[in-house]
Amino acid sequence: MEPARQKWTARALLALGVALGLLWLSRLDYAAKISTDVLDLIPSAERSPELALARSMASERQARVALFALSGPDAERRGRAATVFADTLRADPAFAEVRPMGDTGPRDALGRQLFAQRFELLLPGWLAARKAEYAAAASAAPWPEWLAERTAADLEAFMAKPEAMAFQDLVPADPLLLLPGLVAQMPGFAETNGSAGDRALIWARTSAAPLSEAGQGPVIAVVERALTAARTVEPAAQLQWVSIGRFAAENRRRIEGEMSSLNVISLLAVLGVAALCLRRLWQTVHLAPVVLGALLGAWVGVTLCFDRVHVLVFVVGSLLGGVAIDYGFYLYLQPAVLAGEPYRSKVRRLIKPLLASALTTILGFSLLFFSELPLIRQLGLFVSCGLIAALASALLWFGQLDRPYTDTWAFARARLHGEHPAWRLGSRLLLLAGAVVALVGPWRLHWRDDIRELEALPAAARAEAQGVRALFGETARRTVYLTRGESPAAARAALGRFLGWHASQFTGAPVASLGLAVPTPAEWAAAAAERTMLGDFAPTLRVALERHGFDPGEFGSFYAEWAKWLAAPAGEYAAAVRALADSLQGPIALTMATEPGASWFVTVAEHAPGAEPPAELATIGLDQLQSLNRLFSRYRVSALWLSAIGLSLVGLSVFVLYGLRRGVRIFALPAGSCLFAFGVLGLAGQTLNLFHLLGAFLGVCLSHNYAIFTAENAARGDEPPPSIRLSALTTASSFGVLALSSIPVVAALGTMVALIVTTALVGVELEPMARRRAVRT
Amino acid sequence: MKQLLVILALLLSAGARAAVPSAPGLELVAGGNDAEWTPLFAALAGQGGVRSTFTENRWFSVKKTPVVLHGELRHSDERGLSLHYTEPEEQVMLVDAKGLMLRDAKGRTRSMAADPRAPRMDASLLPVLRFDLPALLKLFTLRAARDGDDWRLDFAPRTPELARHLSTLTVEGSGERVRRLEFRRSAKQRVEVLIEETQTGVTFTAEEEKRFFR
Repeated sequence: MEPARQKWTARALLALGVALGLLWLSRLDYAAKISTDVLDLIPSAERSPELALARSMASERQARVALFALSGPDAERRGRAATVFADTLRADPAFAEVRPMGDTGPRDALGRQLFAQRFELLLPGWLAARKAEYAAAASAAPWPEWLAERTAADLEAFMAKPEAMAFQDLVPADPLLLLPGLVAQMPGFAETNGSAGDRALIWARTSAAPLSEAGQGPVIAVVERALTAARTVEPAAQLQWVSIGRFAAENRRRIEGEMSSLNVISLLAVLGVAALCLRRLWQTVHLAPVVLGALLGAWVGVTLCFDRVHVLVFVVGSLLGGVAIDYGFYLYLQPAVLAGEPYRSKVRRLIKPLLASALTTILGFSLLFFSELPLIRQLGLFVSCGLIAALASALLWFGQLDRPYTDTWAFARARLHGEHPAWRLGSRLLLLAGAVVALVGPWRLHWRDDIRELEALPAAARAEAQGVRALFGETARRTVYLTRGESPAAARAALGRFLGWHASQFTGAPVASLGLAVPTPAEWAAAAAERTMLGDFAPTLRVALERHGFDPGEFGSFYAEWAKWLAAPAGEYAAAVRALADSLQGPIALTMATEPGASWFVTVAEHAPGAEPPAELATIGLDQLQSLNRLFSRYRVSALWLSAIGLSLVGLSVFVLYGLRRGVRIFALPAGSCLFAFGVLGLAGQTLNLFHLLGAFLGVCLSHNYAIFTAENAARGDEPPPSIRLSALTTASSFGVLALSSIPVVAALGTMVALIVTTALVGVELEPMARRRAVRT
Repeated sequence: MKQLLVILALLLSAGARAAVPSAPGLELVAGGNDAEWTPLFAALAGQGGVRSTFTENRWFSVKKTPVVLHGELRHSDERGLSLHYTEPEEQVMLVDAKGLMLRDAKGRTRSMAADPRAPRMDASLLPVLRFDLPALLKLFTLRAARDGDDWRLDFAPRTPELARHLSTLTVEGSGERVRRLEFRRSAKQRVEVLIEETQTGVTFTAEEEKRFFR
C-alpha cells in the first residue's frame, strides 16, 4: 500500500471507530446502566438462596427505611420540632410512611389484628401445647374437662401477675390467655422507644427504592426541608440520619468525584512522565490518542456486554491508561533500523512482541470472565477491550503520522553497566535480597475481605450511621435471623425447626418472632380436626371458672366467639397468615412476608452472633455485612484459582512463542515481581483482600510486557528499550495515584500494581548488571 | 352513765379526727390555694429512699373476690419504683424512667419502654410518689382534703390517654406517711395498695439495687 493511501486508510479507520464508539456511548442511559449499589457486586443468581433473599430484601423492603434522630436541648421544644419534622416528611410523596418511634400505632394495630384472629392463629398452638401436657399428665379426666380445669387454673394464677392489670379489659374475651401468652413469649418484641437521651427518634419508609434517583435526591431534599421546618420550633435542632439512599447518593457522589479526579491526575501523571523523558514535549500529544482510544474501546465493550456496570469498574479501569500507553511508547520510541524504513516494515518487526504481550495479557484477563463476581467479569472485559483498542489505536495513529518515531533525552536511555565487579556484586545482592523477600514474605500474608471497603464513605458518615442505628436498638448483643420458605407454611415449619435448634444452641436466650403468632401447618391441621371434640368445652369451662372464683357471666363475648369458631368452616392457612402480614405497619411490617416463593419470618434473639444455623433450617443470620464478607472471601478464592489458571496460560503461551529457556526467563520477571510485592506486604503485616489479588494479576500482565520487550531486544543483543522505563514509570505513577484513593479497595489495587511494576522495572534495570557478560550498548 | 357518754363522745370525736376524709376535697390550683399543701408535698418529696411492706388487693370485673398480693415496695427518685411481690408468686415489677420491667423468680425479664404520651397506670405512680406538685398538676387535676393529720389526695387524669387506663388515683396518708393508694376505674376494676411498715431516708444496698432496680 502506498504510504499516502495507508495514512488515509488509518485515519478513516480511526475516525470510523471513534464515531461508532461515541455514537454508542451517546445513546446510553447512564442512570440505568451504571450502578453504585454495593449489592450489585453480588451475582443476581447467587447460588445460595438465603443470600439471594437477603439481597432482594435489602433492595425491596429494608433498604427503604430511613432512621432519624433529632436532637435539641429543650425537651418540650424538641418534641414539637420532631412533630413538625415528621409532618413535613409525611406530607411529601417521597415518603410512604413516617412514624415517631414512640408511636404505639403499629403495636396497637398488631394487637387488634391478633385479637381479631386469635382463634385462627393463636388457638391452634395453644391447643397443641395443652394436648401435649394432657398426654404427659396421663389424666383420667376427659379431654374437655381437663382442658377447662387447666384453663381456669391458669387464669386464676395469671390474675396475680403484675401484667394482669394491663390485660384486664381483654380477659373477658380471652380467658384462654391467647394474647397474654403470646406477649409472654416475645419479650420486648413490640417495644417502642420514642426518644434516646436528648434525641427524638423517627422511623420512615421512602416511596421509591433507595438506589433509584427518586429514592435519593427528592428524599434528601425533603429531609433538608423538614429540618428547616423543625428549626423554626427548635433553632438548635440537629439531625442525624441514616438511609441506604442517602449513603448511596453520597457514595455515588464521592466515587464520581474520585473517578474524575483520578482520571485527570492519572492522565497528567502519565503525560508528565512522557513530557519529562521525550525530547519534544509536544510529541507527548501523540500518546493521548492511544490512551483515549483504549478507554473508549473499554467503555464501549463493557457497556455493550453488560446490562448494568458497577461504577467501580470505571474507577479501577481508569488506570487502563497506564497499561495502554505501553504500546504507544513501544511503537513510538523504536527507531527505524534503516533510514527511511517504511512504517509497515517497522510494524512487521515489532508486531510479534506487541501481539505477544497484548494477547497474553488479554488471555489472562479473559479468564476473569468466568468469575462469579460481576465486578471481576466486568473488569476483565473492560481491560481486555481496552487493550485491544489500545493496540489498534496505537497501530493506526502512528500509521498516519509522517514521522512515527521520537527520541528520548539521554538520561532516559542512560544505563549503569555492570562491567565493574562492585556493580555486579551489588546488583546480585539486591536481586538475592529480593528473592528472599519473595520466598519468605508471602507466607506471612493475612487475607480478609470487607465489603465496606468498596465504598467511598468517610469514617464520620459510617460512625453517624452506626450511632443512629444504635439509638434505634441495633446492638452487637442482638442477633437477627431470617427464616424462609416457598410459602408461609414452609417458612413457619422451618421457623419451628430453627427455634428448636436455637434453643439447644443458645440455651435461655430470649427470642422474639412474629412467626410465633402463626401456627405451624401441623398445629393448624390438628386444630381443625379438634373442633368436633371441643363441643362440650364451653359449658365445662363455665363450671370450672365458677369453681375458681370467677363470674362466668362476664365471659359472654368469649363464648359467642367460641361458638362462631366451632361452627365456621376451617379457613385457608396461607390466607390467614397473609391477613396478619397485610395488617402490619411501621417497623413491625419488616418482620414477616408472605409473598409466594419468598415467605419469611424475622427472629430477634438476645445474644451476640454465634453459631450459624445449618443450611437445612433455611435460616440465615441477617448480619448482611458478615454474609457479604464471607461471600467476598469465597469469591477471592475463586478469583485466585482463575488468576492462577490465567497466569498458567500466560506462561504457557510465552513458552510456546519463545521456547522453554527464553520463556522461563521472560516469565521469571512478572512472577518474581509479583512474589516480591506479596512478600513486602506480608513482611509489612498488611492485610490483603480480593482487590490486592486482582492488582497482582494486572501487575503480572504489565510486567510481563516488559519481560517480552526486554527479551526481544536481548535476542538482538540490545539493551532493554527505553520504552520499558517510560512505560513502567507512567504505570507506576498512574497506579500510584490510585493508591491515594479514599476507596480502600481501589487503593489496594493501586498499591499492588505500582509495587509490582516498580519491582519489575528494577528487575529489568538490575538484570543486565548482574549478568557476567556486558551487553552491547 | 353520763360520764360514760362523755368518754364515748370524746372517743368518737377523736376517731373522727383520725379518719381519712371520705370524699375528695377542693381542687388545687397552682399559685392559688396550694400554699397550705406545699409543706406536706415538700416533706413527702424529701423522704429520700423509701422501703415499705404492702398488701395489694385487686378487683377484677371477672372475679368475685379480690386477688390479694403481698410484697415490699422500694422507691427512690433516681431509681424509680420497685414492687417486689412475695406472695402468691415471686415477681418484681419496676417502673422507672425507661419504662416498665417485669422480672420473675428465675430472673427472666420482660420490659416495655416508657410511653410519655400515654403513660400507663403503673407509670403514673412515678410522679405521684415523687410528690412533685408542679409536675403532678400538669398530668392530673388534683383535689386535696385534710382532717387533722390525715389527708387524702385525688388525682384525675387530664389526658384521655391516661384516663383510658385510670379514671382516678387516690393517695391517702397520715402525717408524712402514705398509707393507702387506690387506682380506680370502676367499682369492679380497682387496685388498692395498703402501705404497711415504712422506712424513709433509706440508702439501698448494692445487692438491693441490683436485685430490685436496673
